[in-house]
Amino acid sequence: MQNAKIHKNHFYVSAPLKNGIGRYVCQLQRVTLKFCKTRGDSKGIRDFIESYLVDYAKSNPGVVVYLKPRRHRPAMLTMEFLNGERHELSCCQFDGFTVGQFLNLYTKCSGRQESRLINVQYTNHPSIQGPWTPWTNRNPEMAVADLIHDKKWREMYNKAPSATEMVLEMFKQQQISNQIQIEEKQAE
Amino acid sequence: MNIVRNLSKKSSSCLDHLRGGQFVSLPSRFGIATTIRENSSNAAGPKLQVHEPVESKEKTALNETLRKINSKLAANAEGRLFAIIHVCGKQFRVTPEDLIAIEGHWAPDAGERIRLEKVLLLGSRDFTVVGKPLLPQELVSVEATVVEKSLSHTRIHFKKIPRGNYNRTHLHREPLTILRINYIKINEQLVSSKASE
Repeated sequence: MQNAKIHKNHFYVSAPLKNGIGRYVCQLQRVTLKFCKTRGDSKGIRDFIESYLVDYAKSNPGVVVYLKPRRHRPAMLTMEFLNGERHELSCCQFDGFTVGQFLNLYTKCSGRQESRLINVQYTNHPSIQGPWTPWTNRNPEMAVADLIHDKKWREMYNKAPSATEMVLEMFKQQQISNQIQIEEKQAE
Repeated sequence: MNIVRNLSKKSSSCLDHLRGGQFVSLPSRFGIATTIRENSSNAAGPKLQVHEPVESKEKTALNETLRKINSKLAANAEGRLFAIIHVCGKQFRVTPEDLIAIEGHWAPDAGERIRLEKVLLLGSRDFTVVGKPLLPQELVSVEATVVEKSLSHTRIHFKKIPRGNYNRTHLHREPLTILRINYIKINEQLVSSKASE
């Protein structure tokens, strides 16, 4: 079994017809329950019809429910959605409770085919404050600042003496020591 | 190279409002300490006065920042807000009309409108309010609608013991909830009479 064989579809998080921006709209429109009155494996769906179906139809007034008794045919749930998709579920040998659970599940679905999520989030506004750069919230003078020679910036960002300054300092020290030596010689 | 170009563009066009941002602490009446960062403050670095004690300097900076934010809020000029919310063990950066998917079992039902209470950060174009770690509930409200409760794609759980003559393939689908963010609101003015004192 290969992943590629199973996951043909993949999708970004989406909701049909901008669902949820105003009110929530149930996407399931039509349910058809096909079953046999005699077959043993239709027992579960018959139980469901007997005990739960009226409650389901009452609590979901937006969903149309059809019953199709068919002699010696397997039990089947067919769901039709607002986006035009049609899902079929074989419910042979299901018990009544399981049929109800699947029906509840499909009532809350959007009708999208089984597909793999690419990302857990979708946005039309990927950035509000703009992309971050190293200069975000920095003083714009920094852009043209001469950090090495300008004394103002040197003091702020680079307190260690520069190489030039160190050489100058060394030269100054040398001058002083030379001067001292000369003075000592003259004194002798 | 791109960055350099970007920088030079910014420095020429936005010289006036791109200045050093401030971080100020707001341990005010909200109970939880909150940090407010203003992106376009006009306090350039070296101009701070030396004589004032640090605390009052921070306080004035805070008040100035809050005043600016409040004037934006009062004029409804804060623009599109975004928030970082914590849902079901994950953090999302959301803005109104976003969709987020939550994998795994989660109680809210389809069509329900819920308020996401764990808000870590709130931002707009010009300012950011950072919680430590959460923002107080009465300050920000983020509401969302549960748009869909379905199942993920079929996942394969394959077990095998090498040389053990044993392998099992299990298929499972996890519950998947899709949320639509309806709005993000700042509920009250940031500055109260207490905070501005």
